Amino acid sequence: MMNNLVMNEAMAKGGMTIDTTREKDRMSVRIGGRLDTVTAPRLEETLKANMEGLCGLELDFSMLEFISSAGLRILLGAHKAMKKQNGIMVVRGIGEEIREVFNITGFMDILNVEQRDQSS
Amino acid sequence: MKQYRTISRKVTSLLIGVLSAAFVFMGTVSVWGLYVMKDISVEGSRELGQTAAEDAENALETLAVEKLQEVAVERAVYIEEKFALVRAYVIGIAAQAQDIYEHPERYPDREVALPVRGSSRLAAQLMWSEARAAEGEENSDHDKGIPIFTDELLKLGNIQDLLVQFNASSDMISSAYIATESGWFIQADYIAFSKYKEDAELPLFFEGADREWYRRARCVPPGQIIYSNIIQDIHSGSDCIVCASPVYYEGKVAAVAGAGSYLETVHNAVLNTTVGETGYAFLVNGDGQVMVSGRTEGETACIEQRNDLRKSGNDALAQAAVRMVSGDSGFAEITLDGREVYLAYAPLRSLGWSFVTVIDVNEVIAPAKASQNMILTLTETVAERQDGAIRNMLLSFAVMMAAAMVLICFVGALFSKRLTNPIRRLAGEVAKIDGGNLDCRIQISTGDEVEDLGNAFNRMTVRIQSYVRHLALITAEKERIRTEIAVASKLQADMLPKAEGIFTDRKEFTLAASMKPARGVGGDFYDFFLLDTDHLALVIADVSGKGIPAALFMVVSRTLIKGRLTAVVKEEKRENYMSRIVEEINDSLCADNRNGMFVTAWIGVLTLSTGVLVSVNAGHCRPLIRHCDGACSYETVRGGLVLAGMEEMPYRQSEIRLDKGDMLLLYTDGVTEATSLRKELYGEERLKAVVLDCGDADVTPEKTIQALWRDVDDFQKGAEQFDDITMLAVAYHGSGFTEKRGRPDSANIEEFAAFVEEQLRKSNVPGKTITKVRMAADEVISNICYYSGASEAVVGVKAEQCRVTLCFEDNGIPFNPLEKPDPKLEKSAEQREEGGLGIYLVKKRMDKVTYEYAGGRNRMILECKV
Repeated sequence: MMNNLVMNEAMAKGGMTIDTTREKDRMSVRIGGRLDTVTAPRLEETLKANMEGLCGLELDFSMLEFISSAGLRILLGAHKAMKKQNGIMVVRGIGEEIREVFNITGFMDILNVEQRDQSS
Repeated sequence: MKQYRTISRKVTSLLIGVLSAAFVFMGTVSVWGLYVMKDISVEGSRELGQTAAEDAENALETLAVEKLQEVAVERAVYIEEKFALVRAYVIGIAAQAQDIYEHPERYPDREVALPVRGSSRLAAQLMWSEARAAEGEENSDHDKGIPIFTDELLKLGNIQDLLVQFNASSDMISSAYIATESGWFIQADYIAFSKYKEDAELPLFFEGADREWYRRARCVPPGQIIYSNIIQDIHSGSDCIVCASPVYYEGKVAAVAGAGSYLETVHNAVLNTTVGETGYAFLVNGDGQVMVSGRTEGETACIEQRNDLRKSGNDALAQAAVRMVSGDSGFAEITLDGREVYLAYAPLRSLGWSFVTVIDVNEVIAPAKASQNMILTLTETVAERQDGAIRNMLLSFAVMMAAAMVLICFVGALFSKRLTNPIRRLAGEVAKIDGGNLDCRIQISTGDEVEDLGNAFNRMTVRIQSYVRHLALITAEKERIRTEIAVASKLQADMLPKAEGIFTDRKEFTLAASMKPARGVGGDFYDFFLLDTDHLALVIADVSGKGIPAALFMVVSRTLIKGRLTAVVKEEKRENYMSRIVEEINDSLCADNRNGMFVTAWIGVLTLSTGVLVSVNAGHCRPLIRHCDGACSYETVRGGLVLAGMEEMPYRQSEIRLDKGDMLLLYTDGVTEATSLRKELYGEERLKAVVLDCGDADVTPEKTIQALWRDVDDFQKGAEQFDDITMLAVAYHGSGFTEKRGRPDSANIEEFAAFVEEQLRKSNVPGKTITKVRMAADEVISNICYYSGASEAVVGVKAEQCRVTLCFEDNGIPFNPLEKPDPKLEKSAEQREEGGLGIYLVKKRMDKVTYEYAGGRNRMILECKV
């Protein structure tokens, strides 16, 4: 899946696209491209901006190519924050790359990672 | 090589040879002996013949002489007797006459008739002398001329009967007569006819005074006889000898009575004397004259001259004649008429003659000679027969020998077969053993040396078997050792890293290496290995000595060096780290080195990203560096003593920088000390020349080494390779990184990262890898940008076939991200710290992460397999 990278305009901007869908207390964020040192702050901003009153946060990583430590930090931060406000953060649609990173870093155990086939 | 002849043949040959030799020898000896014998017998026979002949000769001689003498004597006696008779007659006549003269009255008158003309009857005849005839003329009453018969005559006429009688009774007497002084002559003989001269009426005159016998007889006393010499009978003309005796009357010679004996008679007596065949006789008178002879020619012939034999030129004859005349009887052996003769003589004393008988010696000894000849002939015959016999013998010998040869051949063959059968059998059995059947045991029981030989062979076979087993064991052992050496040699060869096909993905350098030991296993070695992604260790070394000891020490040294380099360089990179490492290596080698071996070595580490070469030359040959422009130079820094020589030796490292295109050539002294047939050393200059000759940087290490090898081979052609020859060449192609320099701040992170990705894409690195690497680069670059405070950063990308290497260099504060402890993952999300993940990810996701701080720069190298 990652073999067919779609280059969109977002790439020029550090290569990350963020699509958010807010429904009351649930938000779904679809991140595409790269989540690295450059692009991570944008995501952080977005998340921070929408954290208020959020119960459920869904991160759709199906378009995400890779994630760097900066991204991981953001994720961790978001996860902690949701937990604090008794919300749940779910990550889904992770590719192999992301999966590997999560495995190495142990994030697989920490985050709620939805497997692909679990999606409804 | 000796011609092969079977024992059979040898034995047969020997037999034949020996027997032939024996035969020949015997034959020769026999024949020679026979010939000798023959000669002896012939000689003997000859001698016998000779002796016999001689003896016979002598005997015959003796006999002959005896006979001769006998005959001579006999004849002499005979003649003497005859003459004695005559003598007696004459004396008788004389006596009668005497009586008549003295007593004429007793006798009547008797007339004596005249010779009857032409008569040859024995009759008494009257003759007278001329003087008487003259007287007669006066008183003749007879016919004219006839003298008158006187009384004397008439009375004396009585004697005519006696005369006739005597003549008739003796064949010796040719005429008997009496002659008177008065001139009367009364003769009784057979030749009346010769008394007349032709037609004369009256008989011839008789002159007694003219007669020798008459004259001589008148001088001797009465009763004495004289013999005349040979005189001619006045009437017959024949020679005769007269025997006369005087008749004395009144003291005076009145008449002479005589008898004439024709020599014929004596002749006959002589001539009839034959002795043998050639023998004859002759009479010699008192004057040495031959009166009668059986020979009509020659020295003893009766000849007119009547030579005195005593005066003969033939001395022997003369001597004999002397003796004859002197009345000896005897014999002599003289040469007469050119012939050897025996001469026997006997005297006729009364006559003073000698009767000589002569016989040829040859005739005498003829029988002897004949005997001898016969013996000789016989001898010759015998000799011939002997010769014949000898020849026959030779022939038979030859035949026998031939037969024997044939027989020998058979017998020899048979016998030698019997003899050699065991030997042949033995040979056969031995051949079996020889063929490999060591279990074969010879069984020969001929009870002789062959049997001994068989037993000896058996013992030998047993021993050979055990030797073979022993030898097999030893050989197996040796084989094993050899195999092990071969294996060891291969192991050793395999131990050394192969330069081909290695590091093909590393673009920073190219290697080529080769090692050829002088003897199976060697003491040279080289080594190269990557200490890490950025560091290439190079080692070339030469252990003292050759063969297995050197090889073993070489293994130890190599292991030690590699171990040290691998361990230490990873951990520490301090000032003079190479020196220290080598010192430690040296100490370690010394510690375990009880055999006093040492090793020269050149140990270096090339930092691939910078081209920095740090090395220590421990007593090794100087490396040659060929620069990218083709120029060559020897590296001259001496690091120190050989390794494993002495403990706690200091070593000095050298640091040079290789540029892109430079080549480092390492070798052992097997190259520089390669010796040609002319005992020249190869030397550094030649080496340099070859490398220079090769060309510039385009010539690969492989080609360079090959060129060098060829040259060394050529150089030492014919001579033995004395030492191990090792070569290692490294060409440096630069760090291989594509670099981007820049100022590391947040604005440039993207640029750097994008650069990395671009390089990777260019090199057709697979996408997954790109993602991974990009992420890692991202982390590192971010760190640099955020935390290093560096003003310059260099990012290098090297994409090789199976590996991607990133090099991050910054001049910021020294910071080794690897020192950062890994974040504790097991903590819960809340407990998790935010930091440290990036590096952790990098560490985890990159295959290799190295960091060094060198030259005032942080350097981090990431390696990721493709």
